[in-house]
Amino acid sequence: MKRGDIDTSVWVGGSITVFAVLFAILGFFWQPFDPLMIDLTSRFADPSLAHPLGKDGFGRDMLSRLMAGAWKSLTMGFGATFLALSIGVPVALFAGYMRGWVDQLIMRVVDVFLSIPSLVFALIIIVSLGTSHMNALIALGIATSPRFVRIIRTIVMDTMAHDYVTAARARGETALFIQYREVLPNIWPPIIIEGSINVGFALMAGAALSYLGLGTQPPAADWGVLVRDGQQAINQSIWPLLGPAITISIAIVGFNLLGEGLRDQIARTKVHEHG
Amino acid sequence: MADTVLSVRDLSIEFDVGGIARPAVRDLSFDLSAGEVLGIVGESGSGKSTILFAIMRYLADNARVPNGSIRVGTQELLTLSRRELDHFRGNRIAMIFQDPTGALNPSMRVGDQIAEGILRHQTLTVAEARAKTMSWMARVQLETPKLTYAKFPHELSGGQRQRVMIALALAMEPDVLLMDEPTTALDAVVQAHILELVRTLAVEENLALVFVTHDLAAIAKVADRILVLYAGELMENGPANLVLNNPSHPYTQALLKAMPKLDWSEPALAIPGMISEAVDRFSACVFVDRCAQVKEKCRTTRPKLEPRRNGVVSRCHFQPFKPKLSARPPRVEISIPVKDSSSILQLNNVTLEYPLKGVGLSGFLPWEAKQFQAVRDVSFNVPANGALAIVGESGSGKSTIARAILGLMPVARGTLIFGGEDIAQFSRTRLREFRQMVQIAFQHPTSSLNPRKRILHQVARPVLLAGQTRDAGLQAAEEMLSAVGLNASFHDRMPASLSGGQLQRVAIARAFVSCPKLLILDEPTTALDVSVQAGILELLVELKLNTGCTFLLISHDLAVVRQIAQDILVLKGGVVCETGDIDQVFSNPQHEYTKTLLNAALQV
Repeated sequence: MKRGDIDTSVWVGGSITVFAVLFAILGFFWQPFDPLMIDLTSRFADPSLAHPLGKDGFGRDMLSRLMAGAWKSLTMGFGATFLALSIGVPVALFAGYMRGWVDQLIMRVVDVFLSIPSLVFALIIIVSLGTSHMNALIALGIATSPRFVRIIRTIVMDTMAHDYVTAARARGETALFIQYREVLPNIWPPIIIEGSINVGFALMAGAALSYLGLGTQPPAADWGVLVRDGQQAINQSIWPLLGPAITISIAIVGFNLLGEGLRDQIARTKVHEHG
Repeated sequence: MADTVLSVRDLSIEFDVGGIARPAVRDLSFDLSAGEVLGIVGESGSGKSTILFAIMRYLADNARVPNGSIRVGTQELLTLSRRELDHFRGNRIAMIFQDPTGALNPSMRVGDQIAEGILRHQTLTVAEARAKTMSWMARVQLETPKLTYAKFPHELSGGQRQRVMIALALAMEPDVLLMDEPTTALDAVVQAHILELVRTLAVEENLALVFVTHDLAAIAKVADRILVLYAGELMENGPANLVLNNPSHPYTQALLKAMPKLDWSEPALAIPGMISEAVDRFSACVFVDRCAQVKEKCRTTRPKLEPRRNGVVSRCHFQPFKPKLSARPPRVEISIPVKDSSSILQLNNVTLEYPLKGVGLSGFLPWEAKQFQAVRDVSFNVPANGALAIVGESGSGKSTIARAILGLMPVARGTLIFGGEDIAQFSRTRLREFRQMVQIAFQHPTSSLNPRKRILHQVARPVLLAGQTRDAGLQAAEEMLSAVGLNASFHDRMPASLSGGQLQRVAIARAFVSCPKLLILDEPTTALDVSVQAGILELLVELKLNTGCTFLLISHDLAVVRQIAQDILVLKGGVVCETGDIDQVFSNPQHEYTKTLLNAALQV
């Protein structure tokens, strides 16, 4: 592959991501119908031109509900990742900068958290915070941050080995300057990659929490709530389930393709530079 | 020649970069017979490694070979199929790289790696292959082949690994061996031994050997013939002693003058400029913009390869020039002792230790901690305004001393006195002042600058740190950059767009901008080409004369040390062997190790 060529998975993943974000922004301001408008005369209506994804058990337009839910779901994915990075990056910079016993202590604590599956960890936090969209976001952010600490700390340590960091320490720069002005600008690419993959995971986990009734509370609906409602009504009609389920799958695949594609591409560019 | 083994004819190679063909090698021809060593020498970017990769048929995907032929015996290589190539590589041609660590499989015993190659290419039983491996390990002078066979690459030293690579390549009994900077990463003494071994084996095995390097001194040790390459074109090709002692091309002359001399008979002279892509390759000489003897004809006509006396060919319009004496006066200033009797830095019985890392928690608990003594009981003075060189092989502890002076690692025992005060007793404010007075420049230019920051801002930073205003910092940085020879067009550039020599100039500017009293230079030119190195050495001497800054130079290269230092300290295994005035030590070394180092130092 020549430099400058964009990896297919980056291209596909990036397109899905951009489309999903635009879909969510559009859904925040406008839906074809009021997503909460109940019309009991057309319960479980099949797809038609006016209602391309059909209607649910209350006769609400599924496309409108999906668009409104997109905003909720994507804020969950991006918001939880942003929170996880805001916790993970400073801790990783600190541990990687300090090394020695401080680093050991932090990493053993991180190991303890990593031993608990993220979703279970998030459940524990929600139990203490209470159920709401915002609390689910906070819980997922905290629960996924240990992974960032582990990944980014290694990259921080590699970067710290460069002479420009030694030069900064030798001329007496403060710890904060070295962490945020010398090291941080050089580790953005891996942060963006891991962040992108994490958005996909948080999107799925957020939907799972809503599915369990621990996230977004009705009548507001994110994609997880829509899947639960659709699944409960599966004997009446498949349409209320099909739309949200497929949308979630495509979005998660998109974020993962983007992240992993970027990772491959950066690895290849590095090889190219050295070879 | 009697039996030509490798024959390259009119070879051109270009790289397709964004749809534009960039020439890397042009119209290159040479022959090589069995038992002959050809040295190819040139600066980075001259295309010397590209030639080797072309012979191995291992060029990057974007490379094109528009014309030319490469023959081994009667076989044309450029038209071989993939399957034929697999047979050819290893059996007929082998290649050895600069970095043996990267070329060996870290999880496989080195003996097995050699035996694997033998089994792949020859029909032998496993036991026979092992026996052959052992005998080859003995031939490359690896001690105790039986023990070494079972070792992993990380258990061997750099020199031993390169010996393993040579055994691996030669065990397959190739006709042609290609070596790409095989000794550049090694210490001087080890390098001398490997070069000797290469020379012996080439004769014994009747090899056609191509030895590529930027180091004329290394090539002088091994080569029968020397091919000088510039911007992908052959400049001069001829018997080694003629090319080195009586060069017929201005570029060869310039390269020889750029080499620092151990006897300090004349200063190293830089070749101004760098390999340029702007030169019109069809109607001018490629060396036109850097040649000291350029005439009008050079700008309008591309010179042909002209035969000169005794089998030398030279791509120059003009007959051999008499090597012109430099217009500049010889640098006598620095030989006048300007150093004061007082010392700026004093080390008293300093011992430095690294904690040895154990597995998991072992070694982490305080009562289990083990220490490795990198430097033992070292004492020396750095005279104010002087220049002290610390010389030693890798692992001798010379960089560790630099780290300790900078306060980057604790001093286990002993005291460091700076300007009459113990560094360990410094108050916070005094420590801040001290850090401005002591600066460092590193070996690797790419690593010593932050890739995400603009040049001007990186140079200005030490001034801002000292509490000056932003404008004052930027102005000081601009002045410093122009003092190191980088004009305003560099200010807003990122490090990735600069060459190694330019990066090193930026690093030196950053070190000098806060007007330090003491500058530590940690192998400042090791990673650079000779022509660039000479420029950096000139710059350092000039800055030293202008600022009166004291230098502490750390190096393994005695010839480089000779250009700058007045005093020398020879370090081995963390212990001082010898110290004294550089003239005295060089002319009358007392310690055995100093003698070994001086003997191993390569000169043309």
